[in-house]
Amino acid sequence: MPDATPDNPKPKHIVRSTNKRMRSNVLFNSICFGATLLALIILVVLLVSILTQGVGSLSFRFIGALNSSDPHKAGIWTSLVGTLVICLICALSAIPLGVGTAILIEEFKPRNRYLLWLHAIIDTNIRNLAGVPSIVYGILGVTAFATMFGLFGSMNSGNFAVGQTWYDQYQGEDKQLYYVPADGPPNDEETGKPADPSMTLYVPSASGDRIGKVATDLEWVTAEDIEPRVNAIEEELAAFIKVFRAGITDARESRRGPVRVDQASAESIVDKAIQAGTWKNPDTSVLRGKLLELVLGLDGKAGGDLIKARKIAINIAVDSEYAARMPNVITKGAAPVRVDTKSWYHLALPFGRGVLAGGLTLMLVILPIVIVASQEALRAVPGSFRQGALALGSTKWQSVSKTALPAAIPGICTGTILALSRAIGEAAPILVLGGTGFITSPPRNLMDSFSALPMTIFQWTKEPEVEYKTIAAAGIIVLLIVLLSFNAIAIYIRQRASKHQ
Amino acid sequence: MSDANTDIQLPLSKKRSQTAQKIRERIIMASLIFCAGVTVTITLGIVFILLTQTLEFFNPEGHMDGQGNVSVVSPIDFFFGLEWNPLLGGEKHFGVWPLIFGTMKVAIVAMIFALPVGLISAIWLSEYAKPKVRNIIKPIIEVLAGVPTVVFGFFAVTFITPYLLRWEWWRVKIPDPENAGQYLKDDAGNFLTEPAGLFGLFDVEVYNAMGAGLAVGIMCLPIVISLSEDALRAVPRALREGSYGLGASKFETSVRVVVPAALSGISAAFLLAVARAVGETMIVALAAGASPTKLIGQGSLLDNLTSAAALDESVLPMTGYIVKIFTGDAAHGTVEYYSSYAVAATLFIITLTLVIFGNIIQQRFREKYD
Repeated sequence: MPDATPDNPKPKHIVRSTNKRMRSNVLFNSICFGATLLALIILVVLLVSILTQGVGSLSFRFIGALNSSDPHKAGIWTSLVGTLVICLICALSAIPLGVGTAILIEEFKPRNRYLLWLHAIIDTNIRNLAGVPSIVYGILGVTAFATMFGLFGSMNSGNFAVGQTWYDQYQGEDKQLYYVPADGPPNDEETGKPADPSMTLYVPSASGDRIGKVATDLEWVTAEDIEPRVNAIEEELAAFIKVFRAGITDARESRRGPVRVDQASAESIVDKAIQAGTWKNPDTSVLRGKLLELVLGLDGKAGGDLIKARKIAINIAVDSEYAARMPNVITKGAAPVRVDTKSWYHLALPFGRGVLAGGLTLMLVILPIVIVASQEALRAVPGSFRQGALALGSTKWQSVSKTALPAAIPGICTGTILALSRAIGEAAPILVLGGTGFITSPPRNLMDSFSALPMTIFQWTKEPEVEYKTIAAAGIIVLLIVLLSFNAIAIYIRQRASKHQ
Repeated sequence: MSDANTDIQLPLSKKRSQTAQKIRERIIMASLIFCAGVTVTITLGIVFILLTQTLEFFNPEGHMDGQGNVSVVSPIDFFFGLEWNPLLGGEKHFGVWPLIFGTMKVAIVAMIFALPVGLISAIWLSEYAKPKVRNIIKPIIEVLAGVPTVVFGFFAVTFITPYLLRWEWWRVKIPDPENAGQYLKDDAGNFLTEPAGLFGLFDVEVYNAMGAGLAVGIMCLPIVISLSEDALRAVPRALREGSYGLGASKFETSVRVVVPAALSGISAAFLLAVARAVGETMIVALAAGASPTKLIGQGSLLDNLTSAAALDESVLPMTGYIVKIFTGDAAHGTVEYYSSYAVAATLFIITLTLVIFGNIIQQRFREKYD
């Protein structure tokens, strides 16, 4: 129509000059572009401010070091291992549950009216769960996993545990520790029970493990038995004592003057004394070193110190001989200390504030995300796949597991990895679960307390000193690198999958 | 032919007992139902825990507080009270509104930033940007979405508050209140300085609602952008083409046709973003501070209102309080401990309402154009 041109003054409110309209279009375009640019600028400023603050303290030492209360010594290793362990627990629990739920919702739509209603409730429920603040999941995690509603006793003394072995730890006469397998955690009246020599004893292995080789010629002695033995050793060492005493007496300048020894004279005194004695312990190097240190320390001392030094020398010699002659001797009636070793699968009820509870709490947070992502991946598989399988006579599950699920796996993987990276960055639920406990070592078993990257970053940022802010920034860089590598894996899977299709 | 042979043998070798197959299907079905049951249990578990512990908080017999006195809190005190001071001595008040105000202040600052910026970014991405540019910018915004919230908290504490709000890079000498024209000096004779503030307009505290709010806004920005853009792109092409056909410019088409058509989707995006902002924990725990908003007791009504609306002061939002309690400010079983469950229940109800409304609106808009 000719009269529909912009110049035609038809309805009054539409009349505007084309120039003005074009100008407003350009203006709006630039405002919109500016807003988008602002988002990008914020990201750049964020990254630059963190990099400039943190890159200085980022080093291999920082990544490999344990957490410490000194910001110059503190490292990220404790939290990095903690994060990876809870992420693994989270993945192992969330993936089967999430994918299973998604399959049920997407592939097994019921026909029954009531079941359909239930089905719709589950579907809506999951969508709404995704919007629940993560701190609420933290509270659920504390109550359901850490304390288990108080059903199994308190966190410190639950009444069920596996993967935990109890020992009675005895101090041997040769300063070695011995372990007798014990029944369970210590009770107040149970500690201090006298030793039972019939039990199998374990000595520590070289690696520091508590379970070592069995001590064969084990001897349980009473406290009174030890004194005559020490006296006997002292008598046998009479020759050594005599030579040693003569040696340090000769080292005096005059009868009243101070002792003068140098390295050479000290060595000759000690060596002569050791040669005079007869030793059951063939390796006298440790004894020699200790005696040498003692004699050199006498330089410039007066007469009183000589008597003291003699006594100390006798004690050193007796100790050395005692350990050599009486290995595996434990004083009868000595109070053992109840200790335990925990294998990595150590499990106790309730879970307490350990890695397992942490991983499961994060599972609660990401489960809705995994389900929604898997649902979308399954929905994207064309129905003809399933119908083809069904037409060939497969059962419902066969059609799902052989056609729909394999086709959806790239999508599920991408969604799950992104959900896991959310779990890695999530701090609120872990903070509620783990509290602000200062953890220095990485978790060694499922019940061990832990620290995660975002939690450590939070604690460091909370500190007022600038040093903590810089290591927090360095921690953020490590966290972002971990997340970026997760995202890179997700992108790789997505691209590989789109190439195949 | 060997082909024919395999054709006959393959089904034979694959033949399985029908009964075994049926049992397998049953077991698989049962485990799938178990998985779905877990998700339902999670919801029920949250509701159960929050409900029982909140009821315990309102126990008419009361609970010990940290100082050893017994405190009784009624639901009326909690839901309608205007004063919140559980961790200090003296008379305790457990009115939740100061915490809700704290949350609202942070969320409002966040939304004032995130909603307009997010919406017009989404309009640009959906209507103006060339596909090539969009394919570059969208992944970058996704990176912003993947940044953990504790990082935004760090950003708020180390950049937004000191540099944008407190202007620490522009320090001024402090005038001596006793001698006019003189400035305060430290013992070594150097002038003491303080940040100039935003042109001296406000004296922003180190922990404040505005810094936390801006950080929360940055965190919500990618959510608003991607959800709004989805809504805008779901508007059928025909609507746009109709508008262009009538001679409208791109601006007029976007603002008068596309945005109104996508309004339900955009409002859903806004509601979900508000829910995220309300439930955000780490940023407020780091940057917002720990003083509950004072709604009464500040003198005149105007003073009370100013205090309620102040953005430059330290605030304690609901999530911040929960973190404070669970990171060791209160012993297990005390009235302060139970109060955190009541606050969590309030938070849960608020966010769930927002999310449910958001999802309902989103579902509607999806039905409209599919």
